[in-house]
Amino acid sequence: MRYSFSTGSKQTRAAIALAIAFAAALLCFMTISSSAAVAQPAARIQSGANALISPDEWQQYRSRFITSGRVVDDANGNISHSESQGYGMLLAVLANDPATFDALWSFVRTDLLIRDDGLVAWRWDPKSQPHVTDVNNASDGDILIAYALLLGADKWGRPELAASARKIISALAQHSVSQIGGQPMLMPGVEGFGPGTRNDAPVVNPSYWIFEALPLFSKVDNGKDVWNQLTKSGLDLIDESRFGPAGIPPEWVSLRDPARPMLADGFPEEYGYNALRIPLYLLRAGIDDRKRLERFRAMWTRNGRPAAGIIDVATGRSTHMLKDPGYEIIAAALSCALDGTPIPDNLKQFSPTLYYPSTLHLLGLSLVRERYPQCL
Amino acid sequence: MSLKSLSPYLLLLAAGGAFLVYYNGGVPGIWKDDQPISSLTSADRELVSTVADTRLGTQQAATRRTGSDGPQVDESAIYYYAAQRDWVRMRAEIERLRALYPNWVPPENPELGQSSIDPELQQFWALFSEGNYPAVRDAIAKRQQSDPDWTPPAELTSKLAEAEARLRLVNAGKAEQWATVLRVANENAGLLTCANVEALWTVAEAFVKTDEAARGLDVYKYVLDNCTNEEERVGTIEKAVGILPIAEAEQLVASNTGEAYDNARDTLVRRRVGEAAQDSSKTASATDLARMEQIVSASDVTADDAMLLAFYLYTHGDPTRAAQMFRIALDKNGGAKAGEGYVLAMHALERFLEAEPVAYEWRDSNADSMKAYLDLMTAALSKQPPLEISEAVIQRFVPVVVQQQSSFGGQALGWYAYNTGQIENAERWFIQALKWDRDSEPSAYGLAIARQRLKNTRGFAAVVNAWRSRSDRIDDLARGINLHAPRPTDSGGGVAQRQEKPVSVITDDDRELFGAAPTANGSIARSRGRDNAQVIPASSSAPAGQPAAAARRAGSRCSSASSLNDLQRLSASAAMSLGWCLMDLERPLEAARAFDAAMERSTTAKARGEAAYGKSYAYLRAGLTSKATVAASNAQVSTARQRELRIALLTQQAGAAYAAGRYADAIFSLDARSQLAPEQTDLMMLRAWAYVNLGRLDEAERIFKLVQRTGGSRDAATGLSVIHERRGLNKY
Repeated sequence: MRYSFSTGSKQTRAAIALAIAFAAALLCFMTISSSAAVAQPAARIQSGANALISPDEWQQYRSRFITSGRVVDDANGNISHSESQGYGMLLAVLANDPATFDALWSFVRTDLLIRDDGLVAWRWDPKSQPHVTDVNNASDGDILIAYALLLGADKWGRPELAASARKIISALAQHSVSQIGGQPMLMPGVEGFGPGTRNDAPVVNPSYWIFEALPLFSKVDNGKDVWNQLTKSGLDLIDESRFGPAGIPPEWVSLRDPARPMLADGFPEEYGYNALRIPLYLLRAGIDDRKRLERFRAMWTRNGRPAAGIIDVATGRSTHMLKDPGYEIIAAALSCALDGTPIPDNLKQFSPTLYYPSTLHLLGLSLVRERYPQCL
Repeated sequence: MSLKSLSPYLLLLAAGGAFLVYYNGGVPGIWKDDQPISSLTSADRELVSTVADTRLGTQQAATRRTGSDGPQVDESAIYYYAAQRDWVRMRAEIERLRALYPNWVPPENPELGQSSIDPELQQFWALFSEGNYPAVRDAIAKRQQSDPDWTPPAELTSKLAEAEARLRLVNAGKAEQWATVLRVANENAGLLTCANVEALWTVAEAFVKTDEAARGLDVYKYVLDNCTNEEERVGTIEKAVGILPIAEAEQLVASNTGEAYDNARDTLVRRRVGEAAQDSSKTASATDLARMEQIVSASDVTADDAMLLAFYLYTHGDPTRAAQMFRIALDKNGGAKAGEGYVLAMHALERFLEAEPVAYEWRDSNADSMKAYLDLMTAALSKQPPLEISEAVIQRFVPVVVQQQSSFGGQALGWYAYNTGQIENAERWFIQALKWDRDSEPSAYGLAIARQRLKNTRGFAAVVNAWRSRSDRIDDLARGINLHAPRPTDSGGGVAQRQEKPVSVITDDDRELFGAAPTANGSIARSRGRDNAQVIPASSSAPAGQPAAAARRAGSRCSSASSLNDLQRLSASAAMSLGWCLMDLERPLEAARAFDAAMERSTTAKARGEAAYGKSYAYLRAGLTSKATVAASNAQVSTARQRELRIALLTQQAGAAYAAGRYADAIFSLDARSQLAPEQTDLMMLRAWAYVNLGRLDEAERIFKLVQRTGGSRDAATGLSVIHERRGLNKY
């Protein structure tokens, strides 16, 4: 028996297609140029045979980063967080591995899904007791987990996963989305970013918008408009946050004056490890408007070649290059999407390095395999 | 042993059902489900069999039929418990199954394992018993993938779900997410059994923390009424009396006996006394206090108990006994908290100097301890009449005040300096105190008083202009209504108030604190009006032997802080210059350090003598006369310098004695000084006023007249008029 989100197994695909059409219409309605083509979002239902992540790749990732249901951030004191769990669950769906998925989800439930408001505590430290040292949430982690749950529910016909996803989604809408300047905005966490918590509040992070999840959320959350509005507010935010000579979208943005986004205080003023996910998320969501993508490609081009790096807002130049294939594949995917440039061979091979870039590498590979097979 | 007490499963089902009913607004007290299985209602029975039936649907391993066509019985838990050697739970499981399936015959030797049992399933159970639930999930799903026909035994999945829920519940409790705790409990009522006491404790606490203390009490009672593990029962009592509100905790302990309850009663005594200690309007009962006294009189009294009673005594008007108790706590390694309490109690008793060593010792432990030390010293320094405070005590207080930038501390040092006749020092401290707290009216007042006495008219006007609108008493000072006598009590019948040699200086400090320099006239002129009934004597505390020093004042600027940091690197002559420069900035204590360094590094006896002179002069300026004497005698200070210092010393002593109202001493010092150097006018005036205060009017009159003749002075005229007034012969 196959689970469907609302209308029964036969209509599932049609329903999703409708949601996509709706998202497409919405995107056309927005400021994107008329050539905006919204293809079918990534990570649609795949049969086990042609999973977007190969068994070998997944085996390497799992054995390196996953232990007892925990995705370990090995560059960061071996902690786990809602983001790492969410990425792990999403990759498990893409690799069609319900067993690992179940293990990751078990850990989320027992150790992180403990907040009174139904959101996920963001940080779990093996070295402290109790392990949850900060019970605040991180909304990108919440989104990733809920998104993976919905995909898993759909892929494996398990309605209980969708029920859990719905609880997280409605908690997000209730507690981690704020109206700012007439638009809903995704707050990075329930505590610490809203009015009254800091001088430059509210502060948001454009890389927390995981666009591919939002049309699905809209669909399962009783058709709440807020999720589609968030797609628009996120794209507006990215389009309008331009700082320094290179017009860089920074990691953390103060919206104290919603009409004039500013760099938020106390964060590195750079296009860094957070923000570099933005083009990946855009591509994965099928938001491949040329003009918007070219902005990101320009930032990561040096001497006419793709070059991933941390960019200083003040100078518009790289402070250092990022050589991990997990970052390089984002630059390569941009070139592929814009010009059909083939993905270099070295990036097609997955070999785990550190948790974060390796995660991005698998997300990038699955993106290219699904949407741009011609670049492989 | 009853069937019931053996069977966690019966508890699980009954309590689970009960909890659901209860939580959904059912009858309170329904936790008491200690009735035997036979007395279960038909609904309960139905629940039991329903749950059992759902377990029966799919098991593949460790199942046997009860008869030729009876239902299959899932025995995997029996083998699991047997493998764990958990005989209590194994027997409970056997009893549970026997109750459900009367025809079923239990396996004979479950501890030997079951040959037919699925080895992979045993592995699952092993992972389960390690608490590695994600791994169990992983293993189950993997097997389902490889064998689509396989379904995990219901026993395993339900126990797994329950274990995950228990872990989630406990983790939510650790994060104080009480709504989650209650939600998980509600959704997994099967959790709430004696097998999961920690979950029950967490639920109880969640009720208490969400203002449902009565329900919290019920949960604790449930454990005590139903669970048999002695350690857990004791733990339950400890938790309950710690977490429940006092009233509910009292209910729980009431009419129960045994050591655990006795301990709990003591905990409640502590809580009640502790609560009253927080609030002086609350009084602890005589019984509680008697019990606390008993507890603290034991030889093995803990620091916590001693401190608890001490705080109660302190907040309830018995600082003497409080101090004793804090002392006991300190001796029992009560640490900073005990130290702080001791200092507070001694402060209340005004036994400042006795407490000072403890206060000083613990000052850096935390903000409260620091505050207690600063407050204690501030009170000690401000005490009237002045306490005799040893130099060492003041010397170690000064750097703390500076480091903490304590305006109160600076102010207290200002008053102490003022009260002991070190007016210039007082001025310096009041300025510093004002810098640390620009809104400190008492510091501004102190500064105004000090400057008035120093006859620094422009400096006085600067304070007055900045403050008279904000402070009535400063305004009064300016208008000459010096009703609030300055802090030193004039023991000479209120006659004398010494005023220093006029020095009208506007310093950088003034510009920083009061903005633009005021004009020299204005408000000040009025302070000398005829209606001023005060007698204004004149004298000088400025050492007369200053010329040599003055000659050295290069007038160069130096930044004391940075230069002092580099002191180690300075040459002898550089340190020497720094010393004089700091003297110019009126920072004699820092200057003394610089001179000290210069002394150490000087290669010639003469240079060492110069440095020693500077050092002793600096101490003199800081009012530290004994140190000055030591410094002067320690080094080869030249005879001329010795004489110069001796003169300065005696001048200062005379001024200090006069300011302290020790007029005979002042005369003694002046006499001694006159053996070394002629008495200049200001000192003659000081001597005259001392005579006035001693009632030796003839001698005073002779000096005033002498001064008047040799150039005159309004002060001399004032002095003469005072004498005539005293004699009732006012000629004016």
